[in-house]
Amino acid sequence: MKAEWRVGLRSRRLFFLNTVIPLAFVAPIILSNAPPVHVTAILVVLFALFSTFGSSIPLIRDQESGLLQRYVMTGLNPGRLVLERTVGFVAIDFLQLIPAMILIIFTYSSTFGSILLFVAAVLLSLLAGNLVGVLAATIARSIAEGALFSSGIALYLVHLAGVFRVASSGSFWATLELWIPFRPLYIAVRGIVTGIGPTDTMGLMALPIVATVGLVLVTYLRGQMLSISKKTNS
Amino acid sequence: MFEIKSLSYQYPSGRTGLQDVSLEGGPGERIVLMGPNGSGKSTLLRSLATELLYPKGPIVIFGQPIFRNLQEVRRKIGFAGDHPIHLPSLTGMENAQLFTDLYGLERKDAGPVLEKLFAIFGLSKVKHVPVGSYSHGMKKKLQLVESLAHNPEFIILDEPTLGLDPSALKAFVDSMHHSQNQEKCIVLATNHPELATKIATSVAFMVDGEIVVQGSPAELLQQLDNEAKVEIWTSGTVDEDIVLEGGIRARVFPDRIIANMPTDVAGLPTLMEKILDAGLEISKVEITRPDLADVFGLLTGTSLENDHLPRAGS
Repeated sequence: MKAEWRVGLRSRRLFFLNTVIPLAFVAPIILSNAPPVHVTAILVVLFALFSTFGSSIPLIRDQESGLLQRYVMTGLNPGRLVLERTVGFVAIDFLQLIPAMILIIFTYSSTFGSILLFVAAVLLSLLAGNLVGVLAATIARSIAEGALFSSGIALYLVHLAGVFRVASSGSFWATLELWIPFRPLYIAVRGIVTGIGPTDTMGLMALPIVATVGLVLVTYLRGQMLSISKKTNS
Repeated sequence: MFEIKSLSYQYPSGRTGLQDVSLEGGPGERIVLMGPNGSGKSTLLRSLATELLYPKGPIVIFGQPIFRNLQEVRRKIGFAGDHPIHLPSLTGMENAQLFTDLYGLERKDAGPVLEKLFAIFGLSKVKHVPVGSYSHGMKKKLQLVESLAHNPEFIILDEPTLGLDPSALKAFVDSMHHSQNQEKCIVLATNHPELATKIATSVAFMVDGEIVVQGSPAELLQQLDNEAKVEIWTSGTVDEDIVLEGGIRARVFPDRIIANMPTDVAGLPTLMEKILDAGLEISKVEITRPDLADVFGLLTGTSLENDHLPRAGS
């Protein structure tokens, strides 16, 4: 959505901070002697949180102010509106993460294949994370609640992606793990940090992409809720 | 154009927003809602604008129930709520373009329309200034621009002139009478009696979520005795009231003389002559003609300025 771009790029201070802060978190971690498993986990958590906050907070803010409802009153489908905005959020988040991504890529002398996977995984995570953020916005009653819900859901998804533990082979959790949209990011970052990449890239991406498409559909349907102004329906 | 029958609405908090409201309007009609705060004006407008979901009672706009083709109906409505809301970091023109984009207007078509509306409402000089630095009145004007730019058939405006300066108020009245708006249906809420008299084809008085009286401004004004109140401030006083032809009695107070007389105030020169003959000096003359606010008070037993406390729903 054009407005998202305009607002994102016009708020130069916020854009600058959103670009510098991930870099400021990433730099000391990847330049330290921390074990690769810790570096991987921290980077995945950082990217996941960054993606969910990007959509939930502006949406809740616009919903509280009544701006979102003004958009909907123009005859635009609310579900389509939130999906268009999500695309805008993803694009802006990606731009803001580029410096941090470049630092990661150059620090670990990555191969071309691992870079491609990393970029694709970041984009998928940003899309899924922003969709999670939108869903959090539909149930939150304030910006604080939105931040809490979106970060809680993101962290749990990171956990389900296998970042913090190894699921028993063949178990329910091991099967579920394959569907989590943050899993390709985890595997891609781990590949860059340790130099050991996945053997089946297509297999790694396929199920999380299907799950993300499912999130798109759910977000479209839940997006209808955002057309109700929280400020004035009292 | 639109028709509502026995419409009721209760807010989730239990407050009654509307109760058994029926109203209809067609092309060329300009309906003004008047009533104190909490009387249901905004709720009725928001229901008509399809902003309030699931009120009880049918709302038919453009010949069909609104929820049958909600998005299509919304595209034909121009709605400006009582609080102007914009993206503060974008300029006035960028905000307006955002809404013309959302309404599906091509930029090349929207551009001249927006330029014209910005000029009408006196915003041309600030069109490239971020809205965050606009005054409340400027934001209200920008919201009017955004609501009218897509040439809607049905215009719904909530307190559109609140905070507007006199020149913008005149621009608004002119725009409502503009030939482009002659065939449109306009429903607006205002407690500005003069504005209502100037633009309304019909005025509805609302109290406690109900329409209690409806009629043309002329019909409503006829409800009052057709009298004007004349107040003349004087340098001193006389001993007895002054009686004019036709039995008009001017009451004498220490610093002024007050008389009620027909609205043509034909007896005023004679009254002033008698005051001067009595050796008094006149410092000020004020003529107050009854307006719709007076009619509202007479017919509803309450004032437009009263705030009505929320009433618990049944």
